[in-house]
Amino acid sequence: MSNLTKNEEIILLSILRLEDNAYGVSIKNQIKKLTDEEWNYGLLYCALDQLARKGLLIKREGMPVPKRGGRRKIYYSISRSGRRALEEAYELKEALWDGIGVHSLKKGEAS
Amino acid sequence: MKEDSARPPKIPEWLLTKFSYWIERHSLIDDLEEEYHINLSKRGHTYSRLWYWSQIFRAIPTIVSYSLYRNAIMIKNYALIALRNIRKRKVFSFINITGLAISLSLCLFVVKLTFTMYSSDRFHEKKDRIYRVISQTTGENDVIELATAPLPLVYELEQIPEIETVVRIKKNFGGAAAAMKKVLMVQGFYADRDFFHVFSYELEAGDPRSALAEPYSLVVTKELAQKFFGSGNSVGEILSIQDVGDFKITGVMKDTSKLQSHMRFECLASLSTLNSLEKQKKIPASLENWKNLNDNYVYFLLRENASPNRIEELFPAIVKKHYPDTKTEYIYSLQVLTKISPGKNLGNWLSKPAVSPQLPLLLSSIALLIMIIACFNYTNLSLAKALSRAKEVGVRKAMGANRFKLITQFIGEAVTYALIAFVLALIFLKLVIPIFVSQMPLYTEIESQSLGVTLFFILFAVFTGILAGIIPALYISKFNPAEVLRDITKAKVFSRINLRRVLVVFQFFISFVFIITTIVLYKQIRFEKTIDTGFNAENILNVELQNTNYETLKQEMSTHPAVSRVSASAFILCTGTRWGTRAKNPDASEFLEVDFISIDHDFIENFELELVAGQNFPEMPYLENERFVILNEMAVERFGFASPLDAVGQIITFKENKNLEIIGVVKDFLSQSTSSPVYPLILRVVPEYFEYASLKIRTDDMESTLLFLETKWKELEPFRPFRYSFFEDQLEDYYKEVENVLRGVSFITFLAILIAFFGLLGMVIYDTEARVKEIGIRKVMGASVIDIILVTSKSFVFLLLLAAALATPVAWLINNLLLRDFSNRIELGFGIFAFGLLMMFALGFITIFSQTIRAAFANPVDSLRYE
Repeated sequence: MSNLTKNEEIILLSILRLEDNAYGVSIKNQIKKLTDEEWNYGLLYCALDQLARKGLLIKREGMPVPKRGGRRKIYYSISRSGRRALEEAYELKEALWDGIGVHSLKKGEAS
Repeated sequence: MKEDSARPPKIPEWLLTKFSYWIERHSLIDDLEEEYHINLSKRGHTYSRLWYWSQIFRAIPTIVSYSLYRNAIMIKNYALIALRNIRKRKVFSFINITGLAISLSLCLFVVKLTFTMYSSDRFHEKKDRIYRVISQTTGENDVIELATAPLPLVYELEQIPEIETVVRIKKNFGGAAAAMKKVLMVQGFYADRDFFHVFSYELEAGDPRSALAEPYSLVVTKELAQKFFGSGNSVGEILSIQDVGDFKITGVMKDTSKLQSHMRFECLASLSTLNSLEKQKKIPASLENWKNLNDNYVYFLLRENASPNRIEELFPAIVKKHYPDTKTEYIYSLQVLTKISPGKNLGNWLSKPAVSPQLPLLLSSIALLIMIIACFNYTNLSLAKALSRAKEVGVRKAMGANRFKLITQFIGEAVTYALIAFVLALIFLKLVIPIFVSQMPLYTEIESQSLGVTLFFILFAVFTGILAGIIPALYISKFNPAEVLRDITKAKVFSRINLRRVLVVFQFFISFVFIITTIVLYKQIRFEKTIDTGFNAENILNVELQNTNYETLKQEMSTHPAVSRVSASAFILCTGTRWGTRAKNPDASEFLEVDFISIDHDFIENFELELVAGQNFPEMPYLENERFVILNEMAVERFGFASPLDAVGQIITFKENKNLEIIGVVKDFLSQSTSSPVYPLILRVVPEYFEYASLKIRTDDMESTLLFLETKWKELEPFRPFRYSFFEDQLEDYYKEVENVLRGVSFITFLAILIAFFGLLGMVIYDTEARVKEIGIRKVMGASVIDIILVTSKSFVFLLLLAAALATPVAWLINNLLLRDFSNRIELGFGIFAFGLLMMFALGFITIFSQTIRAAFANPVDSLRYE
C-alpha cells in the first residue's frame, strides 16, 4: 500500500466526517472548514478520480434531483482499503512524532 | 434578464467539457451550478457570474494536466500488452514484423518515387493553362513524334485571341563560359522575354519582365551565380561564352534545385540574341525556318476559360499555308504542361525523356506482390496458431463479447503489428533501400518527404494490417464457444487448411517467377559481355573532339611513341548510337534505309575490322570530293549484290544525289549495341561528322601518356576540358542500365524469397510443434529418423513442387517477352528452370529440414511422458 499524499488524506478525512452526505459541494466546503483553503473543482475532481481508481473510494449514485436536470448526484464513501490507508497514515504519523511532541520544535528554535 | 441570470454562463461550461474526459464532469458542473445559485441569492448576479468564470479557469489547468497524465498511462498499458504478446510469440512476431517491414519499406519507396514523378512541373501557378506545341512528321516510311516545333509558329499563334502569351525556347545554349578568371561549362536555353510571366520561376535579383528582353542578356540560377561570383551581386557582370558571345547578367533565379520539372537549365539567354547569332552564321537558321524541328520549343499561355481544342483546329490551315509542297506531312498538336512528364515518349525532349506513365504502375504492382506475400505470412501463421486462440475466444464469447468485437480485436492486433513494422520500414527506407537503388537515375531526384506522403504512409500501414488480419479475424471469431470449451479437438479448426496451402503455393509461385527472371537477366548480361562484336576494342582511348580540328589533333597526339594509331569516327561503336541514311542500287527505284557511320582511313585497322573483299579507303589527305564507300556483308545483301566480290566496284546512289563507288566490303560487326542485331551498314569518309578520335595506345606508363595527351589538348583547346574514356570502360558503362535493372530485380527477388521462406519456416515450426506427440508415437512404434523426416517434410515439399510447376509456364512467358528486346539473346532453356528449381529447393529443404530433423531426433519420452 502506497502512502497517501497530504491532499488525499485531507479528502478522505473530509469524506469520513461527512458520512452519508459526501458529494462535490459538501466535500469542498468541508475542506474549506478544516484547512481554510479554497480548493478549485478541478483539483477536487481529479483527486476524487485518482482515489476511486486506487480503490480507496466508492462512488454511489443518489436519488435523481430535479434541480440537476434529473441527473443523480454522485456520493462518495470510503472503501475498506481506504479506511486501512487512513489507519496506516495515522500510525505512520504517530510513529514519526513518537516521543517528540511539538514542544521539542520550540526548544530547537530557542537554541 | 432574470431568466438569463438564473442559469450560469454557458461558455465556461462548454469549455470545461472539452477537457474533462476522465473525470465526473456532469457531477462537477452540477456542483458548480448549485454553488452558483447559492451565491446568486446571497451576493447578486455580477458576483456569481464572475465567481463562476474564475472557478472554471482555476479548474481547467489541473484537469488538462490530469487528462494528459491519464492518457499517457492508458497508452503505456496498451503498449505493454502489445509488447507482452509480441514477446510471448517470438517466432510469430519476428517473422511477421520483419516481413511486413521489408515489404512496407519497398511500398513506401515506390510511393515516394511515384509522388516525385507526379510532382513534375506542378509548381507552376498557371500550369493548367500552359501548353506546348508538339509535332508529328510523317515521312515516306516513318512517323516521328517530336516535342519540338518550328519557331516561326509564334507569328501565327500571336494572332489567335485565345492565346495570352507565347514563349519560344531553344535548347543547346552554353559551352565554356568565362568570368572572374574562371572557366566552367554551362548549359541552358534561349528563351523569350515572357518566360517568367508564363513559368513560375522566381527571380532573386533583376526584373522578371525585362530581364530577357535585350539581346545578349542572361539570367542565371543562384547556384551558377555562386560558382562564378561567390555570394556577391552578379547582376551587371559579363559572362563570355566561347563561340557565342559576351552576355550581360540581368537576373538571378532563386534556388531551382528543389523544383521538379521537365526543363533543367543553369541559365537562360534572351531569345532575341538569335537574330545576331544567325546573321553571323554562328548557328543554323531557325527563327524563320519552318522545317527546323531540331531544338526549338513553342509554349504558350492560354487565356482563362479558353479551349485548347479550338487552337488545335487552327493548325491544319497553318500547315497548309507554310508547307505548300512537301512530301513530309506535318501535324501539330498541343500538350498541357502537367501531361509532359509522366507522359508520351516524344523525340527531341527538352532536358530529359518523359517518364513513362506505365513505370509507376509496374513498380507498384511489384511492390504490392511483395506486400501480399508478407500479408499472407501473417494470415497463414495466424490461422496455424488459431487453435491456441480458440479457448480465449470461447471464454470471451461466453462472457458476452459479440463477434464484431472479436473481429475488431483481431484486426486491431494485426494493425498493431503493421504499425510496428511501419516504424522499422521507415528505418529500412532510409538505410537499406538506398544501397540497392541509389545507382538508378530516378532515385537521385526523389524529393524529401512531404506531409501528404507521410499521412499516406500511415494510412497504407493501417490498410496493410487490415489486409493481413481480416481472414484470421473472420475465422477465429467464428469459433463456437460451447464446442471449443467442451472439447477443443472436436472444433473444426483445420477446415481452413486448404486456404493455407493455397497461400503458400501462391507465395512460392511469385518467388519462383522472380528467381527465374533474375537468372535470365544475369545470364543475358553475361552473354552480351562475352559476345563477339566483330571488332577489337582493346587499348583504345576515345577522345571527344568537341569541334577541334581532327587533323591537327591527330598530328599532335601521334607524336607520342605509345600512340600507335589514331582514327576518327562519328560515334563510338556499341554504345547505343545509330545513324541512318538512305541509299540505293542505281538500278533500283526505291531508296533503302541503311545504317551509316562516318570514319577515316585508319578506323578499319585500328578496330581490326576484317575486309572480305576489295580494299580500305585510300590514305589521307581527304579528298575534297568523297568518292568511295565500304559496305558490310549485310548491306551487300540488302542492296541485292550477289557476293561481296561482285559488290566491289559497283555504284551506290545516295538520297542527296551523290554516287559513290564501293571500294571494299567488311565482315559484319555489331555497331549499335550488343543487344541489337547487325544492320546493313555503310562506312563513309565525311570529316564534318567526326565526333571522336580513337587512339590505340600501348604503354606501361599510362599516367604519363595521358598527361602528355592532356597537355597537347590544352595547347589546342585551352578553354575546353580534355574528355576521354577507355573504350573498354565505355562498353562496361553501357551495361550499367541493364545492370541497374538486374540489381533492382535481384533485390526484389531476394526480398520475395526472404519473406516467403520466413513464412515457410514459421509454418514448419508450428506444424512440427503440433505433431510432436504423433512423432513420439511413431518413434516408439519403430519409425526411423529418416521416416520421420519424410513424414513431416512431405506436405511442404509437395507444396513447393506444385508452386514451381504452376510458375514455370508463367515465368517462361514473362521472360520470353523480356528477351524479345534483345536481338542477341540467350536460349530460355531447361537449364535455367532446373537451376531455379534447384535454388528454391535448396533453400526450401534447409528451411524444412532444420525443423523436422530436430523433431525427428527428439526423445519420444519427452513428448509422451504425460500421456
